[in-house]
Amino acid sequence: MVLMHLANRLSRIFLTLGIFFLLGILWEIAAKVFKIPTPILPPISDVLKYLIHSYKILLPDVFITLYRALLGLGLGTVFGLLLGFALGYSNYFYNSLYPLLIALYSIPKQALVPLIVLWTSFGTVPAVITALLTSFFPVVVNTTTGIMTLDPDLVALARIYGATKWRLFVKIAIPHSMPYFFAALKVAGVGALVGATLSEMIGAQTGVGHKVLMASVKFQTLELFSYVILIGLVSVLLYWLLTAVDRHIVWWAYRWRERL
Amino acid sequence: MSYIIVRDLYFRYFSKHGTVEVLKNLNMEISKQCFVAIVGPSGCGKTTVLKLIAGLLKPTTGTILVNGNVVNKPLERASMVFQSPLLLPWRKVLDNIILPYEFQRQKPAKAHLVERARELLAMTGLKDFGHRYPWELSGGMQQRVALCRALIINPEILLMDEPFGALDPFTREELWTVTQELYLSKSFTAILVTHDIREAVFLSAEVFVMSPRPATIIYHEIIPFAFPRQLPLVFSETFKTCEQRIRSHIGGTHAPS
Repeated sequence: MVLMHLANRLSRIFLTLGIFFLLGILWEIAAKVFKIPTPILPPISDVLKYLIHSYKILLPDVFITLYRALLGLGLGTVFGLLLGFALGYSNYFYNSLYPLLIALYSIPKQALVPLIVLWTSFGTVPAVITALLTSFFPVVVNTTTGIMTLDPDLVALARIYGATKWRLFVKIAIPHSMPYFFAALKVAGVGALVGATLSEMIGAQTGVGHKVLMASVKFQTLELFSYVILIGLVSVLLYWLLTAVDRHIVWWAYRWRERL
Repeated sequence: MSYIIVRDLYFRYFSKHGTVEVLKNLNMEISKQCFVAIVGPSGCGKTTVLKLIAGLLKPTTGTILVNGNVVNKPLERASMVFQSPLLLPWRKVLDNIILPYEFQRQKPAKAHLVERARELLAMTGLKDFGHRYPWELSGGMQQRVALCRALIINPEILLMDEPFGALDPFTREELWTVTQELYLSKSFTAILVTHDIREAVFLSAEVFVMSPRPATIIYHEIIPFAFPRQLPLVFSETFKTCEQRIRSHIGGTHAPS
């Protein structure tokens, strides 16, 4: 039985790797056969060669971006969670703050970043703030939804047993909203990386965002692709990590999956 | 004076389609430790009556008295069971059963509660399931856990809103027996809201029939069979006649003069 699960898992991993491999081959063929000039689409073999050769120079900026993103994610998550709870607990808060929240989130971050840089400084601070802004919204929305989707009969049950609103909230509403929260966290993680990178493009001199912009302006396509691959890998790893956290903490939410 | 008195109850609410009159001139009297059922067409307001008696809703006009006191907030010493078991999936069965006490100001010692919970589980045929999670159990078993949870506080009143509606006929009949045993051993006052007239006649001492909206009680019958009742009773002639009589009143709109 265990062997079957393992075989299943391995076959899925192989399938994914296989698809990537296939795409890589297509890329290589397209670049070489159609003789696309290197500044536009270098063959993947050249990109990989460059990456392996220069990763020591490339990695520091990747870590800088990751650091900024994680900081923004951490702050955005805490802030988003608390705000989500507040909006779920109080109708009054919800009706007054939610429209404001949507308005704030609808403003394209690219427009906000120059303003944030103006108010703060270059580099890390605006990147963290932008990452916070891009990551906290899914957390708030999901947490609030998690609380508001509580079955009204369950609320009736709690009330008949003498529950105060607070007790009901802490013992039932909050645990109930946790699967929703963790689902949002995965999205927020990726969002934070996007936010940090975006900010770096406009208001930083270090980090992947800045480096990518510089590389594209100077037509250093190999460097560009390398950074893209690296930050892409980091993003995937972060997503996997958050998925693992999700499955571990709210394992009970995936109970239906066991039955399949 | 009867234990539960519903007097001239009128209940309406406002929706975007206008005012909805749910209950009008509803009167009921229920004796202490009596097991009664309320039947009626879909949507006539049976659940609303239950929630009003429980104190979860306020009457628009009219009074509800329990043990001589006016009901204006959720009843103490009362429990509810709904069609859906509504067990918390992040807690084991035992922890679900003792949940009601976590909302109360005075809570007995946990060991004592676990002991009581185990007793209830044994009574409902779930002796070794305390450490399982709710989703590991079938629908019928989950509903039995819901019953245990309702009874952990030794309620004086048990309100049931179509508790067996989601179960297949065989499981339903099993649970009728379980419910009857619990009732006979704990002696609470019970109000069962149901669609199933057989269920109503089998379990209760009195059956109230509600009219369509705006609902009032249009028929009331005292069921003559002695407790404890066995399932084969359902096939007897007297039972079927009784059932037919009640059924014939459903859908009518006037109380017999």
